Amino acid sequence: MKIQAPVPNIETTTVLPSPKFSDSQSPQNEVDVKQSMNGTLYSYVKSNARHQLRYDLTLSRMKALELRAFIQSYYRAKIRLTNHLGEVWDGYLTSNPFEFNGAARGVTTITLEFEGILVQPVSPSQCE
Amino acid sequence: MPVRATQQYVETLGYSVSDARVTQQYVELLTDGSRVGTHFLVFSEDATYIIERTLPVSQTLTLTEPVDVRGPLYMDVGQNLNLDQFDTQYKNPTHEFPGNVLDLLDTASIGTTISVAQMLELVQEGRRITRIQNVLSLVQSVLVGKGGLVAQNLELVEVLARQGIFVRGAAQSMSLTQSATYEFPDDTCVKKRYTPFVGAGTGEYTPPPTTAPTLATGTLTLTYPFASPSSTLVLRNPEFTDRDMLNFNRINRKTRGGTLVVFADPNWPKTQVLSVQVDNLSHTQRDALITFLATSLGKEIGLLDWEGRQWRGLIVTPNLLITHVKRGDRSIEFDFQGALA
Repeated sequence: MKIQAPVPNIETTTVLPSPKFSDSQSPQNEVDVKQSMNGTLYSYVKSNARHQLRYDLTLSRMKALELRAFIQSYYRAKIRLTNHLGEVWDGYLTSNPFEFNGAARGVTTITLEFEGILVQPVSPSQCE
Repeated sequence: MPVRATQQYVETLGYSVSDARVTQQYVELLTDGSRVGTHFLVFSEDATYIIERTLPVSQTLTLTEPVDVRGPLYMDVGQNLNLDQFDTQYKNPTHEFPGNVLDLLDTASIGTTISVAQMLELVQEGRRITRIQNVLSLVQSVLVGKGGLVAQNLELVEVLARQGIFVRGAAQSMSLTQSATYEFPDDTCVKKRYTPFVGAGTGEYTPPPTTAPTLATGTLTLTYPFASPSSTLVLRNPEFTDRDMLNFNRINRKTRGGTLVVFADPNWPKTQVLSVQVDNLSHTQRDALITFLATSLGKEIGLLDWEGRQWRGLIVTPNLLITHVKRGDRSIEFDFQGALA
């Protein structure tokens, strides 16, 4: 996994190990359902291309310090995230606060929440 | 009836020692001034040289098309100059590179206040026997070996010169930024070590330091006051699951189109909180901790963590819980808010 910032004038690249399983992705569409007095159901949809990604990372202590420095530099910038599947996303790190947990000696865990749009998908042939 | 006169000269300037024939042709067309003038001038220059391979070949084609408009004319006047130049080599020597240079200058001017159009077109045409490919690209790249001095400049200049004062204003906007980054994905330790790949940017953000912080081993030590400590409390190192929290003030908004906009001023406060839990404290350490807290409550203290890093800040949990787990075993958990000194 790789994160780069700031977009579009990228100047810093940080390479991270792949996240643990149970990573998640959720679209950020909204549906508001209303029912009228005669029973008719109305649904109002606000759709967009944003997705929220969530990754659990287990990092070495030095890599955690590198990620910490990256977040301190670019917490307000749009970043580019290239995940373990090769998908490229542009968006923001939305975790607040960023919690670095000392899991064991020299091992730090963190959960990154990212919200953005997919700018470069991966074709199925690349995944096979 | 419009008067039309055509005059043509064909002049043979001479013969070279080879089979080349050099001619000069001059054609002039006059149109009636009371009509809309449409003026086509097709001029071609073709020279075929049969020479030795070692001699240079030069062919120059100069083409000038002037248009003069006299008197008021309430319509657009356009002047287009299209110039194509191409080289065809049937036998491409392996040790030479065919060069094709196209210099094109297209200007148009008019003395009246009607619209003036100026257009510059670049057309590149490639012809080969087995494959036809037409590529017009602007590429600048540099490839150097190890230890070489790298200098790469790409300049795009846009100039608007005002040669008169008109009612309409002149505006020019050109936004051009550049940045550079790099990475070494084949490095096997790139996912473990402190290796941020920091290039060059616009200067809006301060990139992370490229040198890793120096970590050591130490014991959790609290000092008060921070500047010249008079009280020092040494505790055991905290248990695992300690938390280092970075909290930023940011504004997250979603536009009507669904775009996420995040804004934060760099001067807005940012907080760093260390949350630790210390176990196996003795009765004496518990008393010393209570005394230390009472003395330094709400004041800046120093914290030397278990990695040898010195922090300055204050304990933000004055009502911390001291749990008596068993005989001679007390556990505390507190939050420290501060920054690296």
